[in-house]
Amino acid sequence: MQRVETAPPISLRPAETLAPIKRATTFQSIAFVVFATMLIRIAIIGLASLLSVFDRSGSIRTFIDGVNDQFFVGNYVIAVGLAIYLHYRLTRGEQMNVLFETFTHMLRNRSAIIGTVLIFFILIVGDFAPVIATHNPIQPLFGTEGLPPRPQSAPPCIPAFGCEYALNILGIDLNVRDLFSRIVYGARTSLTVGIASVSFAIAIGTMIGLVSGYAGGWVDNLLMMFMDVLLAFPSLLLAIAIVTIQGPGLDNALLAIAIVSIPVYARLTRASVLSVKELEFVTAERSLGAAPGRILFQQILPNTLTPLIVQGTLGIGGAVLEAAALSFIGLGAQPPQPEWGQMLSEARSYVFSAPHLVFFPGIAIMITVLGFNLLGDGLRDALDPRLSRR
Amino acid sequence: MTTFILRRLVLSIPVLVGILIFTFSLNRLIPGDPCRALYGEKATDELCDAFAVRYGLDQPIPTQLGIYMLKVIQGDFGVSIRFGRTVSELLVERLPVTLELAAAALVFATLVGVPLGILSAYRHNSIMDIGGMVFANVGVSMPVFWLGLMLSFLFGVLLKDTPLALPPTGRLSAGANPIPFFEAWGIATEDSANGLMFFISRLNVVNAILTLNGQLLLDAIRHLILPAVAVGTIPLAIIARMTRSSVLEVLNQDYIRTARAKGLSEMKVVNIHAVRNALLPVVTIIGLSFGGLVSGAVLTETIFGFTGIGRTLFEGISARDYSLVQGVTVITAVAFVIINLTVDVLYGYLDPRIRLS
Repeated sequence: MQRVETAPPISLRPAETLAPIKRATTFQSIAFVVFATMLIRIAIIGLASLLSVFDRSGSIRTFIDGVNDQFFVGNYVIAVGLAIYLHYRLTRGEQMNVLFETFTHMLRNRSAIIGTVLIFFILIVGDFAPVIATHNPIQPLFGTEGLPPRPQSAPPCIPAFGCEYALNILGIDLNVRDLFSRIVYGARTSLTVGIASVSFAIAIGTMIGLVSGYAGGWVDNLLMMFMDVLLAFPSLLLAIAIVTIQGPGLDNALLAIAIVSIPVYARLTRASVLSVKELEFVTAERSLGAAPGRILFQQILPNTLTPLIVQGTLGIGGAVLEAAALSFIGLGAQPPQPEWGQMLSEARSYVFSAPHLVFFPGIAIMITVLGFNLLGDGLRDALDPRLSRR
Repeated sequence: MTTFILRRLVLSIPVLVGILIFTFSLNRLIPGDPCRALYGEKATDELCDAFAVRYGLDQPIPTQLGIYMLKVIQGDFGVSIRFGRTVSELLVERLPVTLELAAAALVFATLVGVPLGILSAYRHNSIMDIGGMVFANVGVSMPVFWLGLMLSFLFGVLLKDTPLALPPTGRLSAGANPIPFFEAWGIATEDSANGLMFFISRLNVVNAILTLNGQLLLDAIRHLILPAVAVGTIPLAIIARMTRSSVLEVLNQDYIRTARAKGLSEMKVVNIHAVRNALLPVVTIIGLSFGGLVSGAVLTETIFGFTGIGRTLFEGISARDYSLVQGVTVITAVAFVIINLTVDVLYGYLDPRIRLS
């Protein structure tokens, strides 16, 4: 876990034992920029969700949507720019940086690649929803050009089984809305909720873990006891209980999922802190008279990041699933908001007559969650061979 | 071993107390007055005052907490405002439904997951391995309720006229009238049976076996298959992955090479030497998947028309039925703690190194 930077001992070793100079290939460079763009875009959403705490006027999701809409181009300019800059920094000179080498390890990992592709796909679909979606996700299609005049009743149907009232391949839903457009907009909602709840959980969980691990003693015992109590509940039941108190809604569902997953990050951070804090470089810093805050944030925190990143990636997948579950039972997104779990909830009674309404949102959830799970596994293998399960 | 168990028991007491305090405060934070939620327009101040006195809501909060904890220890969760019956009665009636579903799911997950994991590990990097792991990855990424809906559509509609058809709703076919085992045996009547007897008789499969009713047993099992597959898929995937990595690790160890070198048959090497050792971590995972099973059962029950604690929980929440929500949450959390404890003890029994450390 600890990554100690050592200067390359070039001058001390005979030339023939030197490791061959590694240069990034074009493929690796492009892959790195794409991957870093995706991560930075995700980080922007996460950051926006944390900043929304200071925005007292609106809800968390409105704030994030605002950031997305107002700086939409800016988001990607920043992301791509930072990615290229990072690439320059990491491959500057002849030798590639340790981080870049880790990335090349990851490139050989099948699940990481597939995961990245899936997430990037969903991210692009969500971000470019207004361009990709062919219709308004909330407005019924009545009166749209190219459609027959309003029929007596337009049952949900899909072109594959004969449906004159559908413009898109996925057909129409119960309220004569375009299913495809709704699913496209749903990508936005699900990603935002997943990323935001994990950001909150990591922010709070890391603080608790750092304090608990560094302070030790009764503080540690008390905090960990509280975490144990939280962990003693099946997470979905606890989330249900919390949303019930706060009242149904996507923001509250998001916070409930965050609260439920705090213990995971707290315990993870605490474990890393405990293993790092007795190491020599921390003792050295302490003996130099550094303040606890400085030691915590500059020495210990960077060394606990690896497991947090892996767990966070896996956690986003879990959060998307839980958000869908909460929406499914009516505690999350409220109609007519396009959210996958909520769409499933609307369509559940029609599963026998209009199965496409259930099938496609579920597939969308699955692709998203699968992407994060695969990437998480891949990251774990690449970043932390010790945790590897293979 | 006794000290180990005792130590584990003592360590879980603070957690249990914490659970009680937590659920208590959680439920008191629910906005809205339960009296007004129940009676709506008809709620007058007098009625609500009487209501508060009757259910102890007029006491100071710490007193309420104290009374509540004393009562819970005696197995008394109070009276459900929504149903007008004691919560314990409701739990005895409805917990078995969820329990049966969760148990069936766990059986399915273990019976399929463990062999799948072993095969994947043994034929490492084969098509079988890759296929199994793709399945496992997809399996953990599916929403439980979606899988349930899709299964009920597939087996209830698409395959309706084939022998593969399975009933998509209900616990028993319409018209099936199971006789509780205590009546069949003549040891008690509907009125004189105690809670445990009722509890057991509500487990349809167990009850059918006890009353030796083959047709009913078949019917109950047929109704359980789809929900169990839906709920069990995620644990199955997790168990399969865990088994695979654990067996892989063991297969690379020296004593396996020794076993092969001394000419043991491959069957013996894998089944006796490798798998037995590899299954230790799998036991933990099986225990830990209980939380997922309960969450899954809660979500799936409504799809398949089961009246278990999941359904009860929703009804309790919408009626602001403090006692009922508390009862359900506490019971699940306590069950979770007990199962973790059992797994710990079992683990200590299977692996002496843990007991001693």
